[in-house]
Amino acid sequence: MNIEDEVFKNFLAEMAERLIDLEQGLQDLEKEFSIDVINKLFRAVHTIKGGCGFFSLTKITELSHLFEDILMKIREGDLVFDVKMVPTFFAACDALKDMHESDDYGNSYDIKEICADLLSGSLSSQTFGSPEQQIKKILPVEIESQDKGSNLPKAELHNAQINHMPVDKSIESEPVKKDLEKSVSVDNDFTLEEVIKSIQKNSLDKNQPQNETIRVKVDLLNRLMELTGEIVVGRNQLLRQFADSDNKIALSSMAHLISDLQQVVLQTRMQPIGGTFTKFNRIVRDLSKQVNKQIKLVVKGEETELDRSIIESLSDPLTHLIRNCCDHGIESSQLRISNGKDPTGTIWLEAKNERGQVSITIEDNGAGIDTEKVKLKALKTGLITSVQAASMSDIEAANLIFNPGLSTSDAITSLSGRGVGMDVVKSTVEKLGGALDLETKSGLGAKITFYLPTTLAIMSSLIVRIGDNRFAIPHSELREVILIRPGDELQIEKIMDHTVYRLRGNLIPILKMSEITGDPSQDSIGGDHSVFLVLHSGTNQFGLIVDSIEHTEEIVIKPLPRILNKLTYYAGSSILGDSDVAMVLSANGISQNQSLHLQELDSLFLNNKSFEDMQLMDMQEKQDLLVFRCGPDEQLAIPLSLVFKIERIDVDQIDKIANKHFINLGDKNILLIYLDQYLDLKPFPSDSKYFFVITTKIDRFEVGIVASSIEESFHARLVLDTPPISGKIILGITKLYNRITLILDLFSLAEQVSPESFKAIDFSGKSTNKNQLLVVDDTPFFRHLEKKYFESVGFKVTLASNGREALELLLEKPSKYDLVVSDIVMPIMDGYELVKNMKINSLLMKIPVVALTSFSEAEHHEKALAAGFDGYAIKTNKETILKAVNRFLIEE
Amino acid sequence: MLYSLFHVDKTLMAVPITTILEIVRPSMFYSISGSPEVIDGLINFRGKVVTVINTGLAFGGNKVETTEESRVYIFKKNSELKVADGTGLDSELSPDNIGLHVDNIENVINIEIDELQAVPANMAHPFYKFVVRKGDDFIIILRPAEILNLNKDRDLLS
Repeated sequence: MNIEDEVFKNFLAEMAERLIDLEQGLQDLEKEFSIDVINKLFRAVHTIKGGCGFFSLTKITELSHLFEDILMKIREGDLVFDVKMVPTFFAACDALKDMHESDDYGNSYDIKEICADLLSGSLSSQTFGSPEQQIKKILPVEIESQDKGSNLPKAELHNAQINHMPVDKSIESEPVKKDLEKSVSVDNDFTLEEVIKSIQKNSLDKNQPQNETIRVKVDLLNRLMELTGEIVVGRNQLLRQFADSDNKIALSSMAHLISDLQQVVLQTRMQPIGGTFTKFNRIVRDLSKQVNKQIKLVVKGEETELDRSIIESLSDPLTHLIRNCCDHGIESSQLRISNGKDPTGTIWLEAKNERGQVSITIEDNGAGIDTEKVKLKALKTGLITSVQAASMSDIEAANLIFNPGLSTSDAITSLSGRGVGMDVVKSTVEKLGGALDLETKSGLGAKITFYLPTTLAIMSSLIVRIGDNRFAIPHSELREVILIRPGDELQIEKIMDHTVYRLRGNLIPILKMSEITGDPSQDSIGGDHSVFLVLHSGTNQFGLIVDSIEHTEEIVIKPLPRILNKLTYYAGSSILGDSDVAMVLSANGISQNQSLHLQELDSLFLNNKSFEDMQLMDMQEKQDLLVFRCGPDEQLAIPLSLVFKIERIDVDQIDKIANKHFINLGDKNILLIYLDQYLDLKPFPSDSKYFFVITTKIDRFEVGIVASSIEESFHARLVLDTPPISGKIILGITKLYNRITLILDLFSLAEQVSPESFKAIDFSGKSTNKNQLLVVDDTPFFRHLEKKYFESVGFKVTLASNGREALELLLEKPSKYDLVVSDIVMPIMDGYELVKNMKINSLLMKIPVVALTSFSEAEHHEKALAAGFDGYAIKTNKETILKAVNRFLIEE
Repeated sequence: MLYSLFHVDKTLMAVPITTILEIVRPSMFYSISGSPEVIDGLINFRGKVVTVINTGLAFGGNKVETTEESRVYIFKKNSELKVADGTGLDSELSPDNIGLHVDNIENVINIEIDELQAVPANMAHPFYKFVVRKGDDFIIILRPAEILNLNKDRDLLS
């Protein structure tokens, strides 16, 4: 590349940046006039003009010259700024942009109109001097050339002369350079040095904020990343090697420095998202005119940083969503007024850092998604069956818009309605390792949230072993890991030549590594139980059999070498923390490679059993339990969802205070509970050197349950029998792995251990008639637990396992129930949906509904109340449950 | 120009030293399930993943086994190859770092341009560029670019 080309290329990049400055400046100007903004605009236009003049981009030079002149007049006070000028300025900025992007850099553009607009705009707000004088003052070049009856400005003629010079060959020969400088300086007030300088360094102007940047090759950054990754591996090895050494101050200080280094290197790839957000102001402004609605955009969190490549790929999905908001979301002003809303619709665009992720929210206060329309459309296109449509919740229906070929807009407009887009939006976000969430409220608006990793360079992955090799699977493509034992009810089965597994009502194909690679030597060894990963690419799901799960690791994925790029089932390779190489599997590649006939499987399955039945059976009755032992004999279990942490403890860590045993975990002293003191169990083995402490998520129950061994976690259908041994703290017994297992009632245990803080509240229900309760919960465990609570204080309880079932019971006998207690997250019909249905039914609207969930965050609280629930309680706290329930019945 | 000599299946071969990034002892190869046999596997070369080709198999000869003597030539990437060599060898190297697994390395010798001879027709091979006679030794000079751009000659791999 010769110098000329290189300088020109750099200039084009520079110009793009200046155009962004220009646009931002204009937006600021629109809000508030300030001389600083004018200065900023002036600098941007000036740089563009200078560079283009040097490179003979005549039309850009002409326009920017005129623009610059006007800005200068404003700056000097010769011209009074009027906000009416801004749209013309925007138009000029657009024209400059178009020209910048065109193949001949605007040399074939017609800019007469925009020049005239600029001129007339500046003239109309003129306060002194005759128009002729002003025109002359502003633009002598233009006037002169028009006088000659030619559209060619003077500058162009001179530039043409420059063109004829043998520039690229002789740029370094001194006389020609001087000559060149001379002619350039005559026309454009710029010397060659100046142009090159201003290109290389844009902070020449002292007034510009000192935000110096240099351009660095991405390759170089990648190499920096690789090397840093290796240094981190080396550091870890050193730390391990010298773990026992007494004097390792130098090593540990270097270890810290290396961590810092890694952080900094990662940051070099990060950019604030503001640059992308800026353009949406323009898009919304333009679109609101086009669709004739009043829309304003509120942008927050522009400074949030993301990996450059992520920001680049977000531009299109965000544009699509913003367009959708303008086109479908926001209603016309008349409609908004008649609905009692502010005639101006608002779109909020917000980015923020949340728990190591970045969330981007696009929210509008428009009409929301018409879920009935979506369902209808989905039915028409055969996406869902009428059975499914009837059982769908609003949110499920709204989520259908992410399927290809679905648009609710009746007419196809230039903005949206073609039914392409939402599926692309979703797949783009998922490709980036992110997820998205959709909320919609009829008449109030819709909200879509993207959750994105901050960087693509590092991906959290699961490392598994298949045969002799280790493989990495990015968490973004992994749904779950399933272990099947010989005795389990659901096994991998063969249906018509497909190896499949029934996963919550869906048949998913199960693959072996040898089927993917065609290499039988690399297969899993197998055994009496099988482990498989459930991977997904888009809506496709499949299982991959592995030998063992190793660990989770943050890995850097390197692209596949070209020689191997036919092996599309690999996403790339990676170097693990122990310096070994592992291939990274690609769920996308595998599913394409295998051309999995998922639809075929689904239809096969639908014939087998109705979708709904299967979903019911599968979701309702499954429960996660933690199975452990307190002694050699008895097997005990508690719900995994209530377990906070399990720690292995050495016996000598126990502190004994007045017959009670304590242990220090974190910064808390935790009371240890030996279950043999509460249950008729064999005494805890006294000779063991270590044991396990299980802490729970139950509020104010800061005790640790002592276990001699942790068996495993169990995920299956649970059939509870009444316990044969007495004792309040047993919820029931069941058979797990052919052993009788006692399932503990942790709440009753808490009550027994510290009666003062867990005293059951006396219920006045005994003295009133209002004691009929409908308890709705999909998990059998909680359902029975809740029943037990309420019955223990005098309620009569009816159970339902989901919203639909509850609604049917309620409609059957509307007057029977005094209160409904409902879980929120349930299959078939969730809690929100149930309460919505109740509140629109005149027979049911008066029955109070209390939400009962495991979420304790305030946002869920508000959401539940907003959805129509009358009260709210947290599942894991018996006291608040009873309080919440009592309040409604006593107030009556 | 200096050339690095090595043996593959008892044949003496050479590449210009300007094309080599480093010569390393073969460590553990991570075999790639599903890849052609001619690929030994991947190695971690100071944070880069390098694909290693078994040069013996690539030339249709005996497989190069991992021994005390065997070595892996790691070639520069195109972007790293700054010095164009003067012999008319292809300077267009593969975009990836690639390693050639060879039986053993010999010394480095200087070969003048006028010593290079065309490959005799009876032993023509897309990977061979020139032949050189040095005393009793008969040396084949390889075209690194051809070997490294194996995509073009995929049938050689199968």
